[in-house]
Amino acid sequence: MLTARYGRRASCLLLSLAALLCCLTVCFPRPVAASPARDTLEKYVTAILDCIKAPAYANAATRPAQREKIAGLVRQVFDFQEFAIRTAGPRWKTFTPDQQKRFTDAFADLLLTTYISKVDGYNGEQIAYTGEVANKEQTRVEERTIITLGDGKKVPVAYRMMLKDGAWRCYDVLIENVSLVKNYRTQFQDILSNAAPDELISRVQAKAKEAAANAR
Amino acid sequence: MPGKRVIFAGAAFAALRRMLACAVLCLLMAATGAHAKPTYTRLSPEPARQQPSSLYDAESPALPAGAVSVSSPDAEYSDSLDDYDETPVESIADPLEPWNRFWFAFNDVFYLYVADPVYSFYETITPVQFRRGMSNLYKHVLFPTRFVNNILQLRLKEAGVEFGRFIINTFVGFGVVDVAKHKKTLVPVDPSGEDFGQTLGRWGLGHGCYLVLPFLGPSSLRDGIGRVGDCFTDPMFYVYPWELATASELWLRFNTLDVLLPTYKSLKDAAVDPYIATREAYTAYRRQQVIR
Repeated sequence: MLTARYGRRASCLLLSLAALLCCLTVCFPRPVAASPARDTLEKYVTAILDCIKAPAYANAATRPAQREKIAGLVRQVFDFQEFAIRTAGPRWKTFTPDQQKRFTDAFADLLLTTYISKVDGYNGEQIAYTGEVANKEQTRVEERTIITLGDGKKVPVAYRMMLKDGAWRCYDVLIENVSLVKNYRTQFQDILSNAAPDELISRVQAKAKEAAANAR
Repeated sequence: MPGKRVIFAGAAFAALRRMLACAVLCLLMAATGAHAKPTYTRLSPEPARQQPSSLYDAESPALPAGAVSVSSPDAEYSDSLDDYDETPVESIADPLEPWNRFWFAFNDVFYLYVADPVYSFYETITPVQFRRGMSNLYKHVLFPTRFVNNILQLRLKEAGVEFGRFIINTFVGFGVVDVAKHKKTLVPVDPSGEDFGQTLGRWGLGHGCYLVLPFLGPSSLRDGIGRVGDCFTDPMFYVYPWELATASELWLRFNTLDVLLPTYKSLKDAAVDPYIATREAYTAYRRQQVIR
């Protein structure tokens, strides 16, 4: 009698446990493995944030070294040559190899100095990865994130990435759905419509120098 | 029996009225869309048309060909990611460029050498809570603009959300505290709100041409008309005496510079040609606002 009741209770318990387990598996699906592009992006973003949060960054004496480290990380995940090709647009092919190199370097300098100087304003902003969209061939991926600013305002930032030499690298950033590459491309298109490539390069260099002077 | 007939007649009348309203709206949309050639550039190739539904056939009322159809931004990109390879980027028509550049330079000096120092001084003499309260109040006062424009765009749920927020913020926050900010809403509502320029865009009207307004900054022919339209839904427009209304409007607008000035400065710092950069950022941002 006792054992029978015990047995029934045990089976009840077992059943409810199984039901609970079922519910849990339904509620919490197994985490889907993140795509390699997202892994890459997340790895570098975390590394860059770690650099900013490190005590070495707060210390004015070690800050330049820390900034160099951040710039190195940014260069690894951002492909500035791809940025440069896209911002120069159809005119890129008319640049000589030397002009292409100088243009890429100047543009990389401009982006690095203007955006790394913004890092100083870092105030515990949170980054959330909200999804990704890939093209059919899986060669281009857009990683979507939402950055929550200190005052609670949310800014959508998307990173467009491509597989190059076996690594996923960024070729465009969209802030509030406004493409950085497209914005620069319209500027450069306008300048190139009545100026030689060398003039564009010197203007980008001058702007990078100005940005560096402002950052200091 | 006669009672029943009256009810039936009433229902038929209501249906007729609804149909009439629909027809008027369709006519309005067709009229605005037919004349304007929109200047939108798609971020991705046109998504493949779906099979025609059995509910709506060719006879059914539809938006004019140029109208911006509203889909979630997710669907906008999924086909292919823009690689910007060969084609030059299309941008907004700018026939008044020299004139616009003059006002851009004027505004630049005004923002950086007048508004910015004055605002810094203002920041030192007022607590942040006060400034935030005033910017909440400004947003609160402009509720009719957002509400009316949501209705004009037939975004009825969004209009409902705006209305709910207005009620909560009026009775709980007295207009100066945005209590409803973090409340979950029925549908996501763009925090920047709707205005008449966006409504015109939604009706299929293109920008026309780019325009830089003195003091106010980047705009376009469409958005300039939109600003005039917005005056009529701005409660301050009906306040008497007008000196008081204008002064408070100017001050509330000045109070919100804390968002605009840093955005402008960072845009200008990064740009090789700040005029073009501002123009492109403005049109891309407005396009998103209209599509959203």
